[in-house]
Amino acid sequence: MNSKLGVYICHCGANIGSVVDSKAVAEYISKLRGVKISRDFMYMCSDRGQNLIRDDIKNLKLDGVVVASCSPRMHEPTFRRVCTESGLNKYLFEMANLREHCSWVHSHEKASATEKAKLLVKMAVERAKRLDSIPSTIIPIKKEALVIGGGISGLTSATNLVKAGFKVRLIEKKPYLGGNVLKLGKTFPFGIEGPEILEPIQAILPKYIKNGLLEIYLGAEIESVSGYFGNYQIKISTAKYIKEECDLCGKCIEVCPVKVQDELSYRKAIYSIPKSFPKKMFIDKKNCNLCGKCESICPKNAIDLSAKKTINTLDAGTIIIATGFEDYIPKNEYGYGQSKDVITLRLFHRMISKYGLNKIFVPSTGKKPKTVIFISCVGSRQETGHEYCSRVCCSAIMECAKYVKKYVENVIILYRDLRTVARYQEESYRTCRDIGITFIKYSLDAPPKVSTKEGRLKIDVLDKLSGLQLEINGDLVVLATAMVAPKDTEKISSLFHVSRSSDNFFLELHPKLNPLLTPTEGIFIAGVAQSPKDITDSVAQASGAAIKAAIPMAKGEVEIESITGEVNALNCSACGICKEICPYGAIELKETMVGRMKKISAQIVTAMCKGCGACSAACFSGCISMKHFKDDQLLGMINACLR
Amino acid sequence: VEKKVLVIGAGIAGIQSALDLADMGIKVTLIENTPTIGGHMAKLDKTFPTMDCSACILTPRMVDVGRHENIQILVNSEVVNICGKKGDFKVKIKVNARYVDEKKCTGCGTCAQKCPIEVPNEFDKDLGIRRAIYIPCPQTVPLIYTIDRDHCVECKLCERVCDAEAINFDQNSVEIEETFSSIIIATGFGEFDIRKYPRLGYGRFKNVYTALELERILNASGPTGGHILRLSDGKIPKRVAFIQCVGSRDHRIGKPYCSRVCCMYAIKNATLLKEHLSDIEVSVFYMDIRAFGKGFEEFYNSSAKRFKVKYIKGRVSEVREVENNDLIVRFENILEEKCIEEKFDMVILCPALVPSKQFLKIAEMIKLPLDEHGFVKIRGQAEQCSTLIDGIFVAGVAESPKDIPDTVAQASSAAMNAYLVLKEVET
Repeated sequence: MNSKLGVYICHCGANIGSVVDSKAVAEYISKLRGVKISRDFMYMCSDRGQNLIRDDIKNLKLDGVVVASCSPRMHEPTFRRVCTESGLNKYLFEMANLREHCSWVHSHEKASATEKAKLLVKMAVERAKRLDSIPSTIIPIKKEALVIGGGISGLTSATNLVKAGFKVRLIEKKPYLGGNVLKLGKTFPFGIEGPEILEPIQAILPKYIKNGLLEIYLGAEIESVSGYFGNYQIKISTAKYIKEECDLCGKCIEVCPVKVQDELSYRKAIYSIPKSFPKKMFIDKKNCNLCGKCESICPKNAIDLSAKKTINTLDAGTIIIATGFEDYIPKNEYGYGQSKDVITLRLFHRMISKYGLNKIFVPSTGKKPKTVIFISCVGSRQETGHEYCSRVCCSAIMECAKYVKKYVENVIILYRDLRTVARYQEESYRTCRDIGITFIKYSLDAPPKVSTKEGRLKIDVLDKLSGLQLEINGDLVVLATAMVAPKDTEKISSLFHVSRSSDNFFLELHPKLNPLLTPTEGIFIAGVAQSPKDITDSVAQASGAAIKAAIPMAKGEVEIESITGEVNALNCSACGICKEICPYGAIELKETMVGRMKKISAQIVTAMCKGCGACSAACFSGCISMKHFKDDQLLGMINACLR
Repeated sequence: VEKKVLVIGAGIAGIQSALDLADMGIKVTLIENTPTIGGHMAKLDKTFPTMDCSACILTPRMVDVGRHENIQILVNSEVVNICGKKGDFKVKIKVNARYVDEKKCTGCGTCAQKCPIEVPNEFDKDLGIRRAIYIPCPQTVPLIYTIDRDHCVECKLCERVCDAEAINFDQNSVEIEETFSSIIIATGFGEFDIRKYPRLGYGRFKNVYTALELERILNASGPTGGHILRLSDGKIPKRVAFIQCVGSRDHRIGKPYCSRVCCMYAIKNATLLKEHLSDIEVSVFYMDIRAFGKGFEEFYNSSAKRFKVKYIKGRVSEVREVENNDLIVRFENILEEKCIEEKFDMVILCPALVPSKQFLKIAEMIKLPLDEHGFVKIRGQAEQCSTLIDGIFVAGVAESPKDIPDTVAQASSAAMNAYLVLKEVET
């Protein structure tokens, strides 16, 4: 037990001193057993206050320090540093909060406040007597990052990090990069085509692939994850059906016998994508019949349909999750699936994109539409299902509507609330009104009904603003569908121990100030993986996530939580409840030696443990204790308070 | 020469940019024209959609800035001149005299207790008072007092009571010149002058407030100690109205753009009023409810269903004052196709966010290309932080209106971009 404590009572100017009689408290404490010195001072956090502690540690050979002042949130790091600098382990420091917990809340009861202050400090003294010195653990951080997802967010994070000089491995489940942006036509707010936004980012990739800083794994599947912050190992499998030699000569497409319907037109089972990265053919393994005709005709021998999966184990110090989104597929809403002429906004983007179909037409007739109708909030803002707003659809509709109005007579937008919040998009909305686009507000209690009438589409809708029931005839209905979390979100969530929020997207550390961090140290999120957002906001998040991932790598090492759980292996029954309950995956059941006996017991991987104490509370046999929060330390405080 | 970055403006955007760069091992100078860092966020009560106390989540970060060995904070300071180019910006900074020795002041506050002069506190939107020697708020970082010489009568009581001998009436402003490789502009926003809508009564009627004024009234460290009162007569309000888009989405008198945060803070404040006073009635007059961010729609739904906040789609044509400083609001309820007049105890106006005056001054100084509303022109949608001047980046509302999560993400992004400039200059 520590028996040479230094105790310091702060006045905090008038904050504590005008309510609590700090001198009386100091005097009372000086008489407690184990207290070597007890002082009061105007400002313990000032340089003079800090020097007081420094000198006492040195001259009186203190083995523990208690400061009674403000909230530890503010100055615990300050005083811990003072201790460390004077050669005292920082865990031998204890703080009592006399400001927030006493003087501020009892400003009108001065006498009782002083009594309470005595008790608070006495409790801190009893704990300080029982504190142990805990060595700090420094773990190295590998200067290599893993980026999961090759959409615009993942690409931005990856290029930022390689430019900053860090090694990056980028994995993407599709055989090409670009994600959802690759398939966009006119994007807001500047009307730029998706592939053209990606172009400058993709253009710098070869330089870094060449110098070895960047490795890209396409068609990758994550098999397993092991390790911890600073030192992760991620096992992935990839299969390379098309080799680097492919020069897009197109002979394979000519001979491929499989015709696949894709985006209102047809392609073969081997196909190319304009402006793709890499510039190669791609094989649609779902539809390919493995006839081998492409393999035999390829003049470069670049095709290998029977390519085996290769397994790679990638090292990573930090990880950025940028897995993006999938489109919500309407379930019979608004005639989707019943009429070919009801399409999603995604498909409409393919129609207007010069890298897509580049033609606005009615799918059932092939003719130019006279009236195009957009319906917003399809799958978003629902009472059951996705309650959230998908954030981009209103702005996206404006950009598309503005464009299509140049080619068709009538454009009508059915909306619930117009949420053109992106920069310049409110102006876009006004332009849409000025050029004669019609806006009709609908609500969920009377949603629009889409049916067919005399070969055209008929929409019955209650216009909430005029209160009139309208019947509109149209040729093409475009549904702005929700952004939803990709199917493999759940898998990634469990592999990396990163939770999801109720909307199924990944949960950030704090929605207000820490949108880029996750509760798991060393793992960051960027872009729509966190929640729906537009390209601009995704890119900002992605380069923000890049610096977050870079910080620990730049430092090269990090001090990890010293307050971790400790297992008493002898009493452990290996029931596994602690392992189940640990939110960080930090507990494993392993065979260990207890004395000369071999037995299975729970063991804590200290590098992964965050010291939350859940295991300690859950353990039936009471054999997990938390360092720095041991039973005798806490009971000592309780006894001091109650006796 | 050591490469440094200058961050102008120490609101949450500047704080975040500075911290990220400093954590990367880069020296940062963070300058701020008021006596404390923290910006608008330090003034807010709670934040949407989690109802976290703004100060509680912000102050630990302010303390981190204050403690960081790589960050030099210059408060009461302004940029006087910037010249040079990427990698080599020569910046002249004026550090205004505060008449208190930074090295000696312990922040104990005895001086302010003795100071006989009461001045409206800007931090409380002039609703509360401070002394002529003051800190704007208890969480001020760095915790050093400042004498407001415009109001000080030089009785020198402060000098007499200061044990630390920190008061120095002879202190002078100093101009320093330093070289920076890159600059991040994070100057935040100003509020649209809602007096341009005289029909809404702000400045004419006592119980018409701006949203930021309401934040201070709700705030436990504000002028009412967190009690919701009408400042005209101290009465607890029974009926409160929020009027959205005052100056936003209005191309005639106001600004054509959407200010992006007003719907959410109105929903938040409406919910807070309901939480504080169970029998209060709250109506929000809106054009479109724009609950677009993570958890926002859910928050909006719960305010309507659980807290019974009334949302009325329609514009307010006029606010009139009647006896007892009560207010009559005349509005159109579009969905019910009615023009109605209702009586309220308090009316809260949600003004558009506009570029700050400080920002416009700097922009003019360096000839920074702006859009017609005074926000920074950016390079493109995938380069939101890049201004049209090489090596100068922007973070937060100086770029365009945005909420706190988007601001901190952009601030980290600006930090990354500034870091890359340093890397580039190195090689």
